[in-house]
Amino acid sequence: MKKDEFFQILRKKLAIIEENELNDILSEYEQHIAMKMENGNITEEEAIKDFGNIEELVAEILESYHVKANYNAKLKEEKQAQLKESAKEIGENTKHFCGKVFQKAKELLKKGWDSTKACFKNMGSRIKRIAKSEEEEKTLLLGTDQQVPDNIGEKQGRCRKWFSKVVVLVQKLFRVCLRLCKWAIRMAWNLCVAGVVFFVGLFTCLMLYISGASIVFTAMDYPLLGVVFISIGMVIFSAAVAIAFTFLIKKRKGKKSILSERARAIAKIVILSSAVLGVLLTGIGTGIGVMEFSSFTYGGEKSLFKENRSVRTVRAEVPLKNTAKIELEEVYDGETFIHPEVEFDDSVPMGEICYEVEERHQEIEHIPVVQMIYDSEYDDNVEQTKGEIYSVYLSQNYSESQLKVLMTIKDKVMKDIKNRTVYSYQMSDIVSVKVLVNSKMKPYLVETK
Amino acid sequence: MNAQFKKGVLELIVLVSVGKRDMYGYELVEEVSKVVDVKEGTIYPLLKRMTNEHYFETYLKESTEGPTRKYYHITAMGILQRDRLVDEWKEFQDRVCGFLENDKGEEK
Repeated sequence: MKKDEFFQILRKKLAIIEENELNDILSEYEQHIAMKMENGNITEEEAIKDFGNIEELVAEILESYHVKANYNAKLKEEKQAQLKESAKEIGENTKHFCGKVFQKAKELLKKGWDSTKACFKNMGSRIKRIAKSEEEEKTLLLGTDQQVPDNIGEKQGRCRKWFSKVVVLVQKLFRVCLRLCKWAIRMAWNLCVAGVVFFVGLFTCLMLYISGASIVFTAMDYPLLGVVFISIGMVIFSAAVAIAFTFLIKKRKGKKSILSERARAIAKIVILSSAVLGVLLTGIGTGIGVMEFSSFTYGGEKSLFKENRSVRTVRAEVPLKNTAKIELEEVYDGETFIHPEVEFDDSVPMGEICYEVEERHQEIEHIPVVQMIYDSEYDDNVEQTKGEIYSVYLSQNYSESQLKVLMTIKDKVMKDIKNRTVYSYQMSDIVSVKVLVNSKMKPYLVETK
Repeated sequence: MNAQFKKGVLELIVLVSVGKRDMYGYELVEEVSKVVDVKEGTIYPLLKRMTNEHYFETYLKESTEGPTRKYYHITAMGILQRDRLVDEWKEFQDRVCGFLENDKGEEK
């Protein structure tokens, strides 16, 4: 054993002794070794060997200070015993079983992480040490052997230095990369969590809105109690989820959370119980909703504009040509096609078609459109080319917005919901269409089925 | 020699040696080695312990060759301890010798 190593070990093992005192002891030993080498004409290793077993030496030195030599070992044992005890506690404490298992896993992961880190560190320092000791040997060699040219040794020494420098640099780079990776992962995780919290929060707001509206409607005797319960349940549940997610935000290791451990535990219990309460309320609401829905009855068809019926006359002029026929198209009111019934009335002048439209409301303006089309393939049944055809139809134009229609029907529909009867509402605007033409125009008309 | 014998008598020898004149570590090891074969690893911790127990006090003294040496000097307490140990040793030796003689007589 070399002197340096000997003193290094002693220093490490006697770290418990005050620095001055330790230096005092070691300097005395050093002196002793030097004297012994000089007087006995022996090597450093042999002089050190006479100190005997280093462990025993350490033990005896410690003993002279009344310190237990195996103190460190005992500490380790105690720690292990403690670990064992805590492991036992897990078994016994079924109440906090899950939490503790989770924590334990975290600890283990951390331990693994630490040990790998330590491993890397060790590797780096070992490489360094090797480089260093080799360097030392080189210089020693240089000291004894004058034959070796100085610059070669220097070169090699410089190489070693560079090598160790590169190793340190790589180590540093690796550490920086590691820290960056950790940071990036934490940021990504936090962003994800924040996104979830945002959307769940949005959902909570929506549910809050629905619950407020449905409470008002329920107060007005609408059968919406189920919706009230469901929406309130959803509000509580989603709020609990949103808050629970904020707990998942990872802070930096050193940073303490604002809440104390106790407060956190209480918050966790509150969140969990409110989530359960929310689900329960939603369930109750669903039940009530289904009950309410089953009380609804179907009232059949219902025309909403029965009272407002009126008849309007719309006139369309058509040119009369021997080569062209006139076709009366069906009238479409946005919901159904109504076939026009043709009646002959000589009071209607020639070249004019008079539509009598029976309507439910008068928000529509009827515009007659006469279109000249040439259709050679018209009427497959007759297998006859008809040549030119004047096609006449009524197009509709809402003179006002449908707001008025909505305003007239709203009270009726709401009343029906309150009475728990649902109808299929007849919204059709036109009831019937009658077409009046002069009887002399008959040959001009295309026969309708 | 039996390590247990050595250990028991070492403190006595060290006390007597330092009692004769002040000595530094290496010198003392040489001195003790004349009587019993000991390792430095035993002597130095022993010196440390006895200093801590106030049997010795130490002082530094420049030497003509090499670095400053740490000398050990016996205290009053050390002298008392030495005398006590010497007495104990003599009594112990007498008894052991007597016992051994007795044993031999019986054998004959």
